[in-house]
Amino acid sequence: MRPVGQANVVAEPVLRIEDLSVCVERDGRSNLALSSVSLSISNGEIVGIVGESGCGKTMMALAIMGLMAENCRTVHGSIALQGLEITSLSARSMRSFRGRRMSMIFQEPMVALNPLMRVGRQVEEVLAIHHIGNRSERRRRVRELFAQVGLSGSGFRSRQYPHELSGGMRQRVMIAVALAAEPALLIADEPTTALDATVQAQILDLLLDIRSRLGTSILFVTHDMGVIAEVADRVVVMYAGQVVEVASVQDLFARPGHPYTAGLLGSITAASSVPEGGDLPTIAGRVPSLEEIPLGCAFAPRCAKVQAHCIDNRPQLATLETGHLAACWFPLPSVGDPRTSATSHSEGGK
Amino acid sequence: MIRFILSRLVQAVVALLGVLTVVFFAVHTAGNPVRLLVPQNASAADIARLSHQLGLDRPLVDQYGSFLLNAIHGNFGYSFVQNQPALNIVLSRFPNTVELAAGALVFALALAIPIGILSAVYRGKWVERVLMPVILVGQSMPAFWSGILLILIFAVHWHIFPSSGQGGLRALILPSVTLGSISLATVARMVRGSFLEHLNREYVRTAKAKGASMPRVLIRHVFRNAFLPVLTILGMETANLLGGAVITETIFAWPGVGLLTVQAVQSLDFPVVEAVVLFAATIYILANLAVDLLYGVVDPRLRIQGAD
Repeated sequence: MRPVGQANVVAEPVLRIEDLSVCVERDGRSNLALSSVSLSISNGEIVGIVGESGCGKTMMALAIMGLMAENCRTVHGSIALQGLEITSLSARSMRSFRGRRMSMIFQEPMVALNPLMRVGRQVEEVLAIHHIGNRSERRRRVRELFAQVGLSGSGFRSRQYPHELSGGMRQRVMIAVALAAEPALLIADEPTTALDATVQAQILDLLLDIRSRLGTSILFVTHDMGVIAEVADRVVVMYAGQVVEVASVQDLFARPGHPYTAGLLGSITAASSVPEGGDLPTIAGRVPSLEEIPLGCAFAPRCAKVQAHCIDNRPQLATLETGHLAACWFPLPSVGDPRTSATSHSEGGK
Repeated sequence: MIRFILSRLVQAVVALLGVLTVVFFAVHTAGNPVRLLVPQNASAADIARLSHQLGLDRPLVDQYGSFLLNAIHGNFGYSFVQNQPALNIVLSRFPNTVELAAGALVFALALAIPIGILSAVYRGKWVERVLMPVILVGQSMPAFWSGILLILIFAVHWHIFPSSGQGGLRALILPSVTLGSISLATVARMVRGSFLEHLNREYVRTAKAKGASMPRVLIRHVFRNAFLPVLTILGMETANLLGGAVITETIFAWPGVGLLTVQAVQSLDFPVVEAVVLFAATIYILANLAVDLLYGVVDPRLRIQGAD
């Protein structure tokens, strides 16, 4: 069966994750690294996953790819790629999906490529693994891909080794690798974090360009709200292995519902307007380790608006407005929006 | 590239001069060979005459000067015992040592590489728990014991292989196994360690994300990367083996450089000892130079400017 991408008649999302829980075993104890996570990505959509380090963003990406470390296990839930459940697939079928229907680019382009293999061959290998084309067709396709990711000319040759390329060029090679077999889903795990600001902008432009030309859906993992604002259509905010807010990028930036989201936004939007010598706004405290995630709302210990009710009861995702969900007992009232006034709740909590 | 090799050769010459000096003074303080050469009832005059003939009555510094000068010309003098040029004796034994070294290396590598890879891939599984003790046993058994054990079992008891001497493939097997099992353990451990380290590298994750199978990941990606540190060990092992395996050659009466060394030292045959040591040192230096050049072949990052 060939994946035909947009030809699906039913508007089946490219990726649908439902109620996914993953546990990590360490020193004989197992802890939930992802707890009841749900999300979906439609055709050609860019969904950003945002959160501080240790929130489970990368774990989610690796769970989708089936590349989690040996001590991690999916305990519950489903991951469906183009309508096909993949958590129960054999290792062999999973391999035939990886790189073909979904692919991934990583944070460190400096080390993500094999240092001893010419970059052209690293791209060609994807095609060889999935038996796409004969040798000369594959060569032609590699040249095409390099042109597509902006690597033609300027002294670049596909016979070069990774160490002969700059960080930005290597990330472009990685993107060429990821796109080679025309996957429906591209997972980008902090793809620009290790790059200079100007190179970062170029890579983001390239990803946007790929989406609009090829219709590739992109799951974009980052801790950087600024990057989210530039690329994402929808945003999933994660905290301590849970999804705490889902919204379109406009809604999220205009009316964050979860205090954690507001904190993340506060630490970037205010950064430019901090008076000289003033402290940058931050979220006090740190992300709890897997062993110490509280029973109630995971964010409660760091939340400025915490109530007694939050300590013992875990909030579920609830709709604030169409397409905007937050997991908070007392979501932030949006400015000038009487619909989501949470004052009555907070009275009740006291 | 040429400059690199030249500078390495200059270093090599300095090292060899050092080796020559150390070996000269070491052997000349080891005892008087003349007493071993003359009959038991020889008179003091006989001893003095022979000493004079061999030049051993000259001041040590004087002897050292002419030794160095001759050695540079490749002349180590005549063997006291065999009355042949010392270097010729060493060189005539060398092919036998090469044969044994090659046998030992083939045996060691053929087992060490798969064992190392398997115990890295199946870390913590039963495969590793079976293989690691095998390696440990190989490493802890000294050649003088494992060699004799092998002779006892395969030559004396079962008559499968000859117990000593050289001649054909059958005679090569027992000494190769004895000598190779020490290298086997060293190389297998190195392969295992290096593979373990590289299996966690990011580029391996990239390869898996492409959909590559484990054999493909290992062969196409990890093998070459993980082999670099193994190459270093391999160079040293090869040099050690080519310098003559003293114990193994003695046990199996293998007429190589190692056996010659023992015989020369026992009879205080200074010229031969000196030639053997210089020869082994030269092999060592050349093997390491070869490894350095091989690095560049394997790893493009290490290629010397202008070589490509």
